[in-house]
Amino acid sequence: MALLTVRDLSVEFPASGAAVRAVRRVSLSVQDGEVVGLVGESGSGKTAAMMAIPGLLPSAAHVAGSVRFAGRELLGAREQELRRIRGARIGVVFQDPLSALNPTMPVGRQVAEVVVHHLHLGWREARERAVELLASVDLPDPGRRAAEYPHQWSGGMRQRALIAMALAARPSLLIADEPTSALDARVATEVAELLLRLQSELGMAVLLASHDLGLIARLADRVLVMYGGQIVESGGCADVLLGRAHPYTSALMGAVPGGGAPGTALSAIPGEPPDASRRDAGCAFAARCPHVMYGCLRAAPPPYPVPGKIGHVACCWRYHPDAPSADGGAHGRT
Amino acid sequence: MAGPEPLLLELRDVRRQIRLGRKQSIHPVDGVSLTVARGEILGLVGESGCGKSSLARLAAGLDRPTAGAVLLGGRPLWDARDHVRARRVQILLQDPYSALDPRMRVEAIVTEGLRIARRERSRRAAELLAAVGLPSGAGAEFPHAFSGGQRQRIGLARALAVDPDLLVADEPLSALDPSVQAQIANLLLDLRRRRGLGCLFISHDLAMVRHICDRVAVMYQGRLVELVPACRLTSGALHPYTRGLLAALPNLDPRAARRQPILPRGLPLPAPTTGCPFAPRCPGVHDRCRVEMPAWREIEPGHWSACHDALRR
Repeated sequence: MALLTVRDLSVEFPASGAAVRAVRRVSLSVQDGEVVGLVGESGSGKTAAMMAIPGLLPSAAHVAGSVRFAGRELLGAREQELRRIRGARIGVVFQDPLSALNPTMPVGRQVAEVVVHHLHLGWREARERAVELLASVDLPDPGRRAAEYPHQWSGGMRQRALIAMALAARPSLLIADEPTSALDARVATEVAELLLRLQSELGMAVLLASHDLGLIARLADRVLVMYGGQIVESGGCADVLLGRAHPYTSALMGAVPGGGAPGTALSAIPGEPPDASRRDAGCAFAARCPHVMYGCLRAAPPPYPVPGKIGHVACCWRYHPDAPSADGGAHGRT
Repeated sequence: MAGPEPLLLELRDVRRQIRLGRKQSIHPVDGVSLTVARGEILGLVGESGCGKSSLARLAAGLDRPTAGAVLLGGRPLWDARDHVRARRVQILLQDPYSALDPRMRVEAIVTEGLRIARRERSRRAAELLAAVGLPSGAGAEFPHAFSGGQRQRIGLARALAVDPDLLVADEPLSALDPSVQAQIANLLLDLRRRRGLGCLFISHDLAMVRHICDRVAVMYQGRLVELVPACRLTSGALHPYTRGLLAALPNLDPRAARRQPILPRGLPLPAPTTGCPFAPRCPGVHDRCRVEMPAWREIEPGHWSACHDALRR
């Protein structure tokens, strides 16, 4: 059985006018020790989906569906129980390492706090353990630096501290939301390297959201592509990133420089991501898709296996034999 | 590259010193010489903290160099009157959210630097917004109505309003999604071609720099360590730091991505006082590197490097 199974997860934020439907019936699973990458543009619903899993969304958000972690249902669980699971069984690393730390408390003490809370050690032991944890994330001179405040640390060091805190209780699942996007390229590579090492040492599963396709290519076993609040493609890392099955994934890969001749225009995706408070009939990507067909504007494509690939699924009418067509023949399920 | 054409921007041995106390000071920019020709996009890369942004402020005339000269079209930039300087050089910053006044309409933001009649403003704003690919109705809205990529376009429209010769772009893409990055990069390429805009393009994304720039300058701890035509960057980089940065380039092929080497970890400032500043991290370091600062030399036409070993490679 999978460690984490999410079924039909939906997240809505009430707003004046129409509610913002950030996540629309997302289903995914993460196996023990597996690294699953979640890619997509900002506003695609990555963060809302990731935060809904451990119950970290504000109470105003309306969350529906099912989130089963190690056999337990997390949606609707009591806050007290969620708190025990978060930190101990599920570690979370956020995008912005500065706002996730308390500016008025030495970093070492903040790490020790996690140790006291989840491992039930005394403060003195917890302090020693905190220094060990900071050393385990390759922080230079952890004994001295543990007494410093977050503003004295660089972004890369803060992100290391957050990773140390998330992993203090050796969780079986780490949820990392854009862990490197606030860092410069070199530091980002180091943090990615660190995550890769810790993941293989601790054997934990990782759910990693990022719009950095290089990071995903390096770390992920499996990749999910999110667009307009839905997962539009999923499969093995190389199959998804190099397979060019869904036109959106293909366009996203094409926008990264490296392919074409220098100085020539990059293949930007035309238009804007869809408005999360509206939903027209049909495929969410249809308005920007170079392969758009008659049926794409009329019915949303259901997931369909990509021919010749195992476990590779794309929501695109191009692969579906029942695509709606203008002559009124077959029409899709919706 | 320069030839007989007048140089748009010239930095001559520019330094900037910041005093931290009576005895301590740091040098974010420590003797940099660079040129940008008309219609050229010069890339400037390096890790955070290497002095890229300090150099950007000097090139845009926002800070005065402690020593050396910043020349624009052959004349000292700092001596020009403020409004003259602002007409010739504009700067585009990293964060599209904090760069726009939330209480001003886009039309007013974009035309703020222009001295024109009020009824002219709407027309001119619409032209500028159209030039950066925004819908004509955008001028009447406030910044909050726009996404990050659209805001960066508004910032670009404002920068272009005065028809500058030089655009200093300090990490203009790093807050944006890959697909939006591609849109803005295309816009820069287009402006260079149509208006001959020169650009100092600062980034830590080597793949993007290699794609849109003509030449690439690599900065390390306040100094340039390499200046190379972009087409030679991947195959011909001589400095070990440049090659380390290139090795950290993300590889989109998952099979190759897992085998990438990385540079040894960075060290905090200050660098050693004698010898090459990169020596503590250099994989090919030898005795001479620790005692003698390598000279900034032209190794091949148009290709400069500051490494003792550059000639031997």
